[in-house]
Amino acid sequence: MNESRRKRRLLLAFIFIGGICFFLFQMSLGTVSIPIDEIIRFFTFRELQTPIYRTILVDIRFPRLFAGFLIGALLSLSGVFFQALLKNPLADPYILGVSSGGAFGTVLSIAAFGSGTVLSRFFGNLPLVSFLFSLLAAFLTYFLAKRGKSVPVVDLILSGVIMNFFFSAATTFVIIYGWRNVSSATFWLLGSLSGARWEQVPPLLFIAGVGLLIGFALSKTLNAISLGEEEAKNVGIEVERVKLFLFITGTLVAAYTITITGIVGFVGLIIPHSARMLVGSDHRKSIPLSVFLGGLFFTGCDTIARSLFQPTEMPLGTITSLIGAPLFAVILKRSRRFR
Amino acid sequence: MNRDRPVERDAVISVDGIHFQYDSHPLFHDLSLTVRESEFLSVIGPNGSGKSTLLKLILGIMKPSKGRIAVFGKDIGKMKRKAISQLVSGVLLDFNPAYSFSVEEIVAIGRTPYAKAFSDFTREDRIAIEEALEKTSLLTLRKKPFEHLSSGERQRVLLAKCLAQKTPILLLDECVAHLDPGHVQQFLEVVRDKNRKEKITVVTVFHDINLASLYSDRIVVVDQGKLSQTGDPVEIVHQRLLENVYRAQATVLTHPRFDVPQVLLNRLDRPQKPAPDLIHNELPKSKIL
Repeated sequence: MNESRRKRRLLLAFIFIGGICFFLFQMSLGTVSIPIDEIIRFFTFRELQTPIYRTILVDIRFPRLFAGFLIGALLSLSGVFFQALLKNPLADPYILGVSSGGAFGTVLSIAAFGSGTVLSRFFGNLPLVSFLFSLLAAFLTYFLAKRGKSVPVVDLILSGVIMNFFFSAATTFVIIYGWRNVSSATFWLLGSLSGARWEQVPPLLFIAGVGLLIGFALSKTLNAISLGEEEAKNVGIEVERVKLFLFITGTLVAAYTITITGIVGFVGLIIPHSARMLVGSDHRKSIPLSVFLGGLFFTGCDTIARSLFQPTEMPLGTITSLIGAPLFAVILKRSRRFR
Repeated sequence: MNRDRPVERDAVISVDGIHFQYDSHPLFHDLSLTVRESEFLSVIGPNGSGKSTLLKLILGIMKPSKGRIAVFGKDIGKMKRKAISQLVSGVLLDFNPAYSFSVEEIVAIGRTPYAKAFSDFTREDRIAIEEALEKTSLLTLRKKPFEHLSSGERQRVLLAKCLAQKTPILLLDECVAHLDPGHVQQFLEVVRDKNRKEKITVVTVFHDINLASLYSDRIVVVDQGKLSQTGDPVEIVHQRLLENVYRAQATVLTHPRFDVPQVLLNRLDRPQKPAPDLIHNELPKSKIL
């Protein structure tokens, strides 16, 4: 017994130290590759041999890496919430229509931008419109699924499917009908961190902090809810209230990250699952690891997206999906035996 | 609330004239039941008679459309779920966790009613978990994933979770239905032991009339949305119960070593031999409610 605990500790230490090294290593990669010793010099407050690297690091790499890490962490946390809410280890934050609603909002915003109408004032604000439409889609999903005082999980998933279909079709409609800036819309639909700025980091940090606190506070509740709704009631959980809370926080978080990066699939789905495979399903352990791994996976994929395909950039969602889909397939096959 | 029946002094659960329906299909019509302190009560009745539903109503998982259920004199309809879960715990059917949990992790979830946000398990929590594991002989299996266990072991884990919950009332829903005789005995002995030594009130749904007869202090029969009879096993289990409630032909004998009635089914395609000496004679005093 002690042996396995020691192994687990070792694994966690490895993931943590390895993760930090990996994070630092990513700072050197990009359109301009910066030697590691320059990065070490930067962090030890010494003069850089090539001063321009400082600007690249501070103005371009850092915001992108930090914002990326936080967004990955948040998507992963949101995935944990949705998986507990839907009692499904393979649910993700986009399953209830948040992403397609956001996509529709964005495309609408791009199509309306500069059209000179009064509406363009409002619809020109891309992040706001995408956020509002994400929430709209999620709440339509919720109310479609609501039966009296309770929200059955199967109805929730089904109405999520309906919303996703509807808003995807509406998105295509607007793209074809409005046919302007279609390529920028496509890039957004596939996700990208290229819009990351320093000023996005503090709010992200705040949201991640609050999210993590909620995660810690709810750990035991989430454990109970994973046993099923009746079992959770049996140990004193106000199930419907907790479900609503998870739905709202998970949706807000996912919708907010979408305003910055567009739709980046699979992070919220596979990362919590991988974390559970590593440390077990107790949320007190799996939440911190999910958050950390989510950040690493997100920045890792972004580093691949921005440095391997120069001079262009691969959309981030493409990379996460190309890596995520096969991983998902493996997980799906393996998880059959739990059913 | 109920004018017809006097409220019993030592009642720990009083179900008072409840009505319940699934969608529009009525299940209970004006059902009342009193459970006395530290008794071992069995609920029997044919399939679909609502035995499991009755337990879920007492647990507060479902709500009656009319009537009142009180635990220790307090109306559970007006209690916080957390407060209910400190008084009543239950081993339910269809336990199907979303993730792979270890035995220990599942038993620890029994401590949720006492949990405070952000706090780790207290000393009290750990002692309760440890005792529950020990009582159910699960100490050696504690790190094992739940889904790798046999059904007998799984039922013991669910029992341990309820024991860790430290409630004065324990509800069991057909807990031993699919277990082999060894596991059935082990499970019920643990429950009976808790009942005897710690005065825990047990209400259990049984499919197997013989087990109900062997282990219970009292039996209630639920049939057609009502409690049809109540009494001790000797009063309740007889040939007429099987004929009228279950529509089954059976021979009811007296257990030669414990003096409780035991049921043997008859085959209907063969001629019967005359009744043996041990036949359990129907008692005319059996109460009809």
